[in-house]
Amino acid sequence: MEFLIFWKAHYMDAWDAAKVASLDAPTRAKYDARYQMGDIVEVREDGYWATRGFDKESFVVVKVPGMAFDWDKMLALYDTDNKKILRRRKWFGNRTKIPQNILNKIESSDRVVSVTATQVNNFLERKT
Amino acid sequence: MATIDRYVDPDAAGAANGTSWADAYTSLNSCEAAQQQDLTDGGGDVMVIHCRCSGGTADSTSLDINGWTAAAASYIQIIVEDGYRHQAVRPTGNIYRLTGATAWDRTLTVNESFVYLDYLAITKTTTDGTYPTMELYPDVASARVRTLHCLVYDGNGIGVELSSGAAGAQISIINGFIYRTGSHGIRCSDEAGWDAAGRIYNCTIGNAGDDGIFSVRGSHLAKNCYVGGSTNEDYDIDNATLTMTTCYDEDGTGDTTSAFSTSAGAYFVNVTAGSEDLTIGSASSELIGNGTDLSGDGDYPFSTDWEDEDRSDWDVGADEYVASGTTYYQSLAGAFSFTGGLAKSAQKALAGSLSFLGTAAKQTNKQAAGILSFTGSASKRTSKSLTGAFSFTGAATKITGKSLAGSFSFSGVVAKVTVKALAGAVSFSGTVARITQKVLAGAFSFSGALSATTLHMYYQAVGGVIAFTGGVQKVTAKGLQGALTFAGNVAKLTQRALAGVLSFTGGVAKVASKLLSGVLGFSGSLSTSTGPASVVLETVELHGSFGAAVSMVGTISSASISCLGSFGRMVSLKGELN
Repeated sequence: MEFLIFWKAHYMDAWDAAKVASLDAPTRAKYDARYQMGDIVEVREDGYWATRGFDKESFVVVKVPGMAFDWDKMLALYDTDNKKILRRRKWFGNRTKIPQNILNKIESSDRVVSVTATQVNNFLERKT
Repeated sequence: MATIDRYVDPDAAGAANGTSWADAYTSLNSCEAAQQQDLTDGGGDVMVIHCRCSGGTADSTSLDINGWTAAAASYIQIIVEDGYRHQAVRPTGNIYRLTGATAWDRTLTVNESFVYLDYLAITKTTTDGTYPTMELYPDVASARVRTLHCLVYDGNGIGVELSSGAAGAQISIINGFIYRTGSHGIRCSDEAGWDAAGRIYNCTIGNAGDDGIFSVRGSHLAKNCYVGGSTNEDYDIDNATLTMTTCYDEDGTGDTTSAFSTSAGAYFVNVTAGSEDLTIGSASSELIGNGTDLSGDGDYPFSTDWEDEDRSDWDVGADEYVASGTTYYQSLAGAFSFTGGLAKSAQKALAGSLSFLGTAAKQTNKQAAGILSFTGSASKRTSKSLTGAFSFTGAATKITGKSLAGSFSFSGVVAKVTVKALAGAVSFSGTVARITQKVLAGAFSFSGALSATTLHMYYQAVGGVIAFTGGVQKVTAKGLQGALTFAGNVAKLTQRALAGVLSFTGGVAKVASKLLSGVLGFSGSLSTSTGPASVVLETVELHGSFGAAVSMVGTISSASISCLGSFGRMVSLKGELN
């Protein structure tokens, strides 16, 4: 399985605490549901990005050869009615838990890294 | 105010930053994620996302349009490119479609309040969960979300759900086809507090797995809609207001009942679940001319149908019936594609591409700037000004082009081809009875069988290369600057001014050249050859068997003359040999 991961600051990240506190309800919901660094944008089968490019200013690709394909990894986190998006993605790559050698590859010019399932499970987390 | 154009093509293999077709994003989902921004800052912008699938690959992700800052003048438009738009039937091949593939998810959710979706084909492939294929859920009362000419098909849940986080948010579905949904075709505002104001205009909804239109809450308008083949009710109003204007149904729940059938009532092309084509298939349809004119509608005025044909009669449903033999476009900026039979098609100004797959009795283009491709037969085709490429595969009795700047390729049978000004390359693979070009600046190549004794080829000014593989009855060129090569038989060949190389492989009955300054090479049989009064030849080579006399009359200047072969009579060179 291969992950396309959001890897930049969202423009709403620049909003300070005062502005966030002043948001009306719809905008606050939108703020909470914005893409955040590490969010899994897409999951694809092995080899998908071997023949395709991706926006390296916005994403990185983490390849986990042989990992069982799972659409759930790119789902949003909905409210209990499954209607309103609470978080844009419920799975994300936690940058603070990524080993430095892997992080160096992710943030190199290629923006692609290949890891094992064991490695990815150490930094792939589910939002609550 | 600026327009930001971004591109999506699942078959693109470039940098995938969306700045061009070559570097298009490979999914609408990734484009939406990468491009989220405040469109209202810096004077405001409009985001236009163009979609296509150049290799026929479906866009198989789901997406939520959310996380932007937009406004009425700073909106998001997603539009399928000319030539990749659905044809009212289940899309295949290079028709762009958003299929989704995510369990428990909608294929498309719109949470932003100013979003326009044009020409999209959307389905849901997952069998897990019964959520809508498309959910339109803007969050402010001033919202204007619109789907125009969209197709929603199959899926195991509701086709389209209209709801809103703010009462009064206007959601318009215009000229939509919705069929064979697992549940309701359209559900309007399913819970209190999410009361959208739906504007469902000229939609055709068929074979819904529950109600066709299920109005639960809020106040909605349905105008000129047809609903039929529903498992439950065609129109089902529950704790809501659904004001109908000239809406047709199959079961008596609308304004007027008309059979969901191919042979009565609505006269659709195909109503079979799984094979729907809910365009109108007969002039006998009760939907024709019975809609309300919405060109002055207070909420969403429009005057075309799902394929941008003028609504002259205001038929009910997404399709405006056009009788065969009367297809006519005066100004067509988008793509024109055709599948089926056609008595006549005429375009006066065609900026996009035109593709045909079917038969046509007559097809005329006065100004076509895009690509014109044809697969099928036509009795007559005329292009007065075609700057793009023209390709033809099929049979035609006559093809005429007055100004063709692009390439012209032909594969099939044609009785007559006439091009007055052709700047690009011409390539033929097939048979042709007669070809005439007056100004040919590009290359011309011919490869095909030719047995018709009436073949006649004529060139007044040819600047490029002419290459023949096959037979020809007669070839005449008045001003040929390039090379002419033959591999085949020719009955008669005449050049008045030939500056390039002339080479033959094959037989020729008669060759006459008045001004030949290049090389003449011949291998084959020659019955008669008549030269000009004054010839300057660099090299003369005669190889083969010449039953009749070979004569060159006049002053001949040549670096070398060689005669190899069997000459039944004689070779005579008359005049001064330098």
